[in-house]
Amino acid sequence: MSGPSFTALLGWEIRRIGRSPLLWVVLAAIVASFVWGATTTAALHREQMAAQTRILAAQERWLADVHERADRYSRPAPPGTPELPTWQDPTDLSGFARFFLFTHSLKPHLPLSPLATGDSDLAPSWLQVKVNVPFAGEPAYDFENPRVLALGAPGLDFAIVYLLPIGLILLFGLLATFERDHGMLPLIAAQPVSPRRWLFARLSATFVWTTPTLLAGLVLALVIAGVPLDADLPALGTALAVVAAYILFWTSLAALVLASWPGAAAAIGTMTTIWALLSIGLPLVVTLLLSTLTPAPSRTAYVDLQRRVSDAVDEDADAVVSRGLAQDALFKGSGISADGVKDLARISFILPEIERRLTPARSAFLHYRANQLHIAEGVGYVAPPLGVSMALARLAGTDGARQIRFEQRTTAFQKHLRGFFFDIARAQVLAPVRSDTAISRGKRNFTGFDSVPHYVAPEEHSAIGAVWPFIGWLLGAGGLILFLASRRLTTWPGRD
Amino acid sequence: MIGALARYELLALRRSRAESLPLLCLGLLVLLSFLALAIQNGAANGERSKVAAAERERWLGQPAQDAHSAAHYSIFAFKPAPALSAIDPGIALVVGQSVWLEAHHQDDMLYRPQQDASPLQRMGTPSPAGLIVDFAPLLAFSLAFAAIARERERGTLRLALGAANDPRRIIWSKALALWGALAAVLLVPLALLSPLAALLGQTLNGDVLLRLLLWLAAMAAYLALLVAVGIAVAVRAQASRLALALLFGGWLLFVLVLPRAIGSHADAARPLPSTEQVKQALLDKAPAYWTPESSAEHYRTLFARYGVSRKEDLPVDARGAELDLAERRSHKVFDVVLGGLYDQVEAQDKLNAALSFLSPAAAMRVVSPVLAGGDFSQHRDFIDRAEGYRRALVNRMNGAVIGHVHNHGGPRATDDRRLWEQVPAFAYDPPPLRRSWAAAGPAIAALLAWLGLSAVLMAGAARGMRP
Repeated sequence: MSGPSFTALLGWEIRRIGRSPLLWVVLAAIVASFVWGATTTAALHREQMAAQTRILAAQERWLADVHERADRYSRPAPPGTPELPTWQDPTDLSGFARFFLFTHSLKPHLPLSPLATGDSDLAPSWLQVKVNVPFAGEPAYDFENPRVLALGAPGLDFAIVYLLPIGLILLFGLLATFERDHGMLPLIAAQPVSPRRWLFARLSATFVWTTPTLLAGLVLALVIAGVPLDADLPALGTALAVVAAYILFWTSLAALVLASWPGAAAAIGTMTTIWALLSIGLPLVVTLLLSTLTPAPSRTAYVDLQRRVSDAVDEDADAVVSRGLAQDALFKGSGISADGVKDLARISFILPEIERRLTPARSAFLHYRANQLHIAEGVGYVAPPLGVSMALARLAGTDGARQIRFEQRTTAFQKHLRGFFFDIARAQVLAPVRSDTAISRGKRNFTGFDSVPHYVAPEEHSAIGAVWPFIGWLLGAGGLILFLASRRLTTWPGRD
Repeated sequence: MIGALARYELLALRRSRAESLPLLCLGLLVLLSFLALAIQNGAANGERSKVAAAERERWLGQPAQDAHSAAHYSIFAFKPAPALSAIDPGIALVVGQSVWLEAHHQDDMLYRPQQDASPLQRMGTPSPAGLIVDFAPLLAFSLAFAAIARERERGTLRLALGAANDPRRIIWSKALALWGALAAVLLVPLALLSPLAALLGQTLNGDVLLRLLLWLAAMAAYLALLVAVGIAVAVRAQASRLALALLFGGWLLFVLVLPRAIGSHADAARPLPSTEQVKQALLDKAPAYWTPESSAEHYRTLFARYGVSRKEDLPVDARGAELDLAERRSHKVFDVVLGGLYDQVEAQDKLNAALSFLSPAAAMRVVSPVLAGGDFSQHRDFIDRAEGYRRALVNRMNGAVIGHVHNHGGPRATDDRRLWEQVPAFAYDPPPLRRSWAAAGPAIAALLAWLGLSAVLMAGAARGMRP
C-alpha cells in the first residue's frame, strides 16, 4: 500500500492536534498541578529546614547556658545553700550526660527535594540524641495535621504519578477516537493508508506535543518552588528522563487500548481501569498478601518486651555490672565491685545489656523495614506508578532508603557519644574526681562541654544510579507494549 | 411504573459485562480492604488489651519503693481501634497508638502504623471509605453516561421515550437503578459485615449501630448525588464526548484535586507550630529538670503557703511538695502549649470542613471519619483522657510523698502495693456520637446541599430532555 508517508502524516497531525483546545486545556491543568505540588512540598521542606536552623541556634544557646551555669556553680556555695543534686549540676559528668545534654542529628533536604514529598511528611528530619536511652531513642516525629497525612500529600510526585496519566488518558481517549465516534473511520480506511501508520501518527503527534510541554512544565514548577536548577543538573536530567519514560509508557498503553478501535467512552474506561489497577488495585492486593504472609512485627509487643527487659535487668543489675567489670580490661585487678559503680558508669554497663536483650526484636523491625523497601522496589517494576513514585523520591532525597541511612547514622552517632561519656565515667570509677563544696558548689568532674561530639551531616547527593535501571525498564516496557499494539493494528475495524 | 423500569435497568446492567465488571471489581476491592482492616484491627485490639493487662500487673507488682519513683515507672496506655475503623480508619494509620504516662512529661503518642511503611504499603492500604469516595464517582459517571448518552447515540433512548408517557420516569428509574446497584455492591456488604466485626471485637453497642446507620446513609446520599450529577450532565451535554470529558474532568477536579487543595489551604491558612517549636516551648516553660534557682523560687512559694521560713518547719514533706508544685505548674503549660497545638489542629479541621462545600468528595472525607470515630477530635479525646489519668496517677504518688515528712534527712519512705492499688486501671471508652458529630456539621450540610442541587439538576435535565 502506498499513500502518504508516516512523516507526512505525522507533520499533518502535529499541526492539527496543536490547534486542539482540549490539548492545551489538559496540558495547562497538568502543569498547574505540577506547580501546586512543587510549591506545596517546597513549603513543607522550607519549614523543616527552618526547624533545623532553629535547633542549631537552640543548641548554641544551650551551650552558652551550660557554660554560664558551670561558672556559677564552680564557686563556693554560700552557707545554707542546699546541696546541688546531680540533675541540676552540669559540672557533674552523670548529670550533664543524662539531664543536660541537648544535641540532635539532622537530615537536611537535597536541592531537588520539592520534586517529591516521599517520606518527608511522615519521617522525622531531625532527632534528639540522648545518651541514656536504648538505641537511638523513641521514634519521634514532626507533627503534621494527620488529616492531610492520611489523605496523602499533594506534592509534585502525586501530580506526576496520579494526575499526569489521567490527563493523558483523557487526551488520548478523546483525540484518537474522534473519527471512530463520528463514523468517519470507513472513509479513512478507504484511503491508501494502513491503520498502524494512521493511529501511530495520531498518537505520536500527541506525544510530540505533550512530552516537551510537560517536561518544560516540570522545570517551571521546580523554578517557581525555588529550586536552583544548576544545583544538581544530573539529578534534574534524570527526573526529566523518568517523567518522559512515564509519558511514553502511558502513550504505549493508550496505543494498545486504541488498537482495538474502541469509542471514546470505552477507551477512557479501559485506560482508567488499567490506571486504577496499576495505581490502587495491584498495590492493595500485594500489600494484603504480604501482610498475611509476612506480618509486621508488633510495636505493642515491643513495648511489652521493653518493659519486661527493663524490669529484668533492673533486678539483675548488680550481676550485670559485675560481669561488665570482669570483661573490661580497665578494671582488671582493680578490686572494684558492682556496689562501687554508680550513676553514668553503672548505666554504661546496664544499657548495653538492655540493648543486647532487645536486639533480636529491634533487628526484626529493621529487617522487616528493609525487606519491605526491597519488595516495594520490585513491585515498582510491575506497577509503574509505584516505581515512578520511588524513583522521584530517590532523586529528591525523600526516599525510605535515605531515611534508614539517616537513622543508622544517628544510632552510630549515639554510640560515639556514649563512648565519649562512658569512657570518662569508667575512668572516674578508678580515679574519682573529689569535690569540695568549700571550693565549688558543683562537682566539677566534667567541664569539657566544648569537646562533646556533635552530629555532622554527611554531604549527600541524589541516588541517580539507582534510578536509571528503572528508566530503562520503563522505556523497554513501553517499547514492548508499542510493539504489541502495532501487531494488533493490522486491520481497520468493521462497521458497528 | 418507575419500579418496573428500574428493575429493567438493573437487569440490563447485570447483563452488560462492560458495565457490571468494573462495579464488581470495585466492590471486591472494598470488601478486601474491609476484611484486611477488620482482621488487623481485631488482632491489634486483642494484643493491646493483653499488654495493657500486663502493664497493670507490672504496676501492681512493682516493688516497695519511693512513690515518686513509681510515678516515673507508671504505665503505657494503648488506644483501641474504634469499632468502625475497618470501614474508615480515618487518621489512625498516621497517629501514634500508645503513650507512656510518666511523671513530668506529657509524652507524644508513639508508634504510628505508617511511619515505617514502605511506599508500597502507603499506596496499598486504602480504606473502604476512601475507595468509595474516590472511585464510586468514576463508576457512577460511567454508568450514567452509558445509560443516557450512549443510548441516545444508538437511538435506543428515542425508542424508550416514544414508549413512555413522561421522560422524567425514565430518568428517575435509571437513577434509581444505578443508585441501587452501586449501593448494593458497595454498601450492603459493609452494612452486614461491620456489625459482625464489632460483635466479634466486643465493641457492638447502640452508639456503634447509630454511627454505622448514619455512615451508610451519608454514603448512600453521596452515591445518589453522584448518579444524579452523572445523569444530569449526560442528559444536558450536546454530545456524548462532551459529556464524557465533563464527567471525567469533574472527577479529576472534585475528587482528586479539590479535597487535597482544600486541606492544604486550611493548613496554610492556620499554620501549626513546628514540633521543634512545641518541644522548645515545653522545655523553656516546664522543664522536667528544673534549676537550683527555680527550686529556690519553689521553696519561697511553699514557705509562703505554709507560713514558715525553713524547709525543716514545713508540715509536709518538702521534696514531695516541690515535686507536686512543679508537676501542677507543668499541667498548665501542657494545657497551653500542647492543648493549644491540638486546638489549632481542630481549627484547621474546622476550616477544612467549612470549605468542604466546594466538593462533595471533600465533604464526605470529613463526614466519614467523624461517623466512624477516626477523626482528630476523637483521637484527641483519647489523648486528653490518657493525660487526665497520668495527672491523677502522678498527683496521687506525689501526694503520698508529701505525706511522708522527712525534712530533717534520713532515708526516703517507701510505699507498696496498697498505694499502687489505689490507682484504678486505665480504661478507655470512645466518646459517643452526640459528643463528636459536630465536627462534621458543616460537611453534612454541604453534602445535603450537594444532594439537593444534584436532584434539582437532574430534575431540570429530565424536564428538558429531548430524544
